[in-house]
Amino acid sequence: MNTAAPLRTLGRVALPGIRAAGALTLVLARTLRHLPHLSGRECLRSLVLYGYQSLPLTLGVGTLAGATVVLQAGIYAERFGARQYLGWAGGYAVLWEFGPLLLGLVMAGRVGARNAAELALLKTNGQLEGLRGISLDPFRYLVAPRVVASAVAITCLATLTYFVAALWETVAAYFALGLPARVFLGSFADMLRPNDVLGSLLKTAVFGTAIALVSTAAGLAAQGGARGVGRAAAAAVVFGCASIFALDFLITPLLARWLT
Amino acid sequence: MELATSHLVVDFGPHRALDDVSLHFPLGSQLLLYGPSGGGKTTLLKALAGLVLPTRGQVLWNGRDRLTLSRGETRDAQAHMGMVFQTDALFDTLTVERNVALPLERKGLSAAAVEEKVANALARVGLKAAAQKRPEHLSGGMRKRAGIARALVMEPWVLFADDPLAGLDPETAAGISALLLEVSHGRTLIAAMPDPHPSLPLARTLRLTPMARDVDNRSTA
Repeated sequence: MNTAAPLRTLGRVALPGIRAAGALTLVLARTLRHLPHLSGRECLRSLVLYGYQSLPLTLGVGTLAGATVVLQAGIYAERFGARQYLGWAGGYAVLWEFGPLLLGLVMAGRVGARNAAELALLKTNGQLEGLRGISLDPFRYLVAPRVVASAVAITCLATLTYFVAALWETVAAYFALGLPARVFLGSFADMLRPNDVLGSLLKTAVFGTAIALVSTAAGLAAQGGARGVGRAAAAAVVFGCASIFALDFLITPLLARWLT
Repeated sequence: MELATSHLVVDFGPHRALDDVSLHFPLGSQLLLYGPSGGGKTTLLKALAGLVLPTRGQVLWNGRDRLTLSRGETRDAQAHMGMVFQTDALFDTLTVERNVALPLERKGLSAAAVEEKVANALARVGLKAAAQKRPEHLSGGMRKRAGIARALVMEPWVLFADDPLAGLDPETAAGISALLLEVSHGRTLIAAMPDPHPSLPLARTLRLTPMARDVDNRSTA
């Protein structure tokens, strides 16, 4: 019996995972190392690209998520005579689950794919190597600012998205269920605590960081021409979304225990 | 600055790109590396510039193994090297002026000094009028000139040029060759190209092929 065969299979299965974990750790470590001296110009450019230019999309997500949650929850609230709790239920659902998850998935598509494609193109076109050729560290100059800017942009966008979602929940509750804004917002304000907002923002910050790290690692691993860029963008979206679901599963119970 | 390689071997996975290469480049020397794709021209150029690490053997900068230098010494040595990339490696998001100023980013120079050095480099390659344009709005020859200006802005002792005439029409190629020859006075110039080009007659040539490497030292003048 060939005893090496199972080991070889194990290695074949485990190696890509170990390699990916190593790449993510390196991106994180090098970003942290360069935090004190990031290129301000590149940070600002990336914040505009990933944050400001994503505003319409995230506002749309906030609007639809808020209205949909209230319309859906409203049916059950009416059935069980719990209309007065709709503000709390809608707020809780958006803050703790729908908001971070939907925003994370949308941002994995928009910011993650864009970051990965840009870095992949910079790598395959030789610009990253070009920086090394003129004694500039491409990580410090180009990569770390993008990681930081995308994580910050996603967290900031989340704050705005939750505000918009709450607004549209109120509007939907009034027009679809006839619930006065005073009642809806009253239950929202009475029963939701600052820790719920904090938990939501922490969750989004973790998702934002994960999207930034995954997309950066995917972009830097790109090889070849247009196909390599396409593969990097696809990997950033697929693994970015997968990491959001995995992190959601892992950190929700921890945050809930800590903050509630 | 003197460059040398000693029994240099560079592997990319199972593929051996360079095999036991020992060369010496005194200051002011000129070398053309030529040969078909896969022969290791660009790899040798990048190994000399410190962009590719040796698998075995040594790359020597002023007689010292590049791998034994501290981070600061490596940075200082690299500051004396300029590289003209095949793809020009310019950033389309920056103006030509900003692209050329990039190598000066961490030198702690005043804004006026940076401006002066960039203006000199651009004037030297004849691109002063295009300083505020973005590279995407330049022709192939102008992009190449911008790449040369960026390599020159640090006043390097060694100039590497990776396929500097690629994709250029004969007239533009002749212009870029003349420019390279002009700016290489007093500097070491190491260029890599698929074939020797009549407009860029360098003192020494080295043919690199995937199967065999034949050194042809026509002259060391």
